[in-house]
Amino acid sequence: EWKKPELEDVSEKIMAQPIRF
Amino acid sequence: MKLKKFVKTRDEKFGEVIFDTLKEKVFVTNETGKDIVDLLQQGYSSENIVRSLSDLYNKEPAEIQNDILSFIDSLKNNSLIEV
Repeated sequence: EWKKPELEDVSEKIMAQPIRF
Repeated sequence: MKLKKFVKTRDEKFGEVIFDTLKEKVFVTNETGKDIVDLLQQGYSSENIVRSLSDLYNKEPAEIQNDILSFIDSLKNNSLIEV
């Protein structure tokens, strides 16, 4: 089923969790 | 057009996670976004992506073209793909 493709930057949400590269 | 070398992806149930390991950025996309990224990685042009996905989703190319081109623009604007 076609859904509009979306790109969301979630970096801030991820980095707010003291998860690291 | 392909993802840059420092950009890594991981398949998820909802679509895909895209990691920019250079800038330490994380993006998420849905199932259709994942399809577009997969086809880009296989070296498809934007025209061929529109054609392939119109077949897969039973849509007229004109119906989905703008969505696809906008998504590819988003990838470009975030420096995720080589132009």
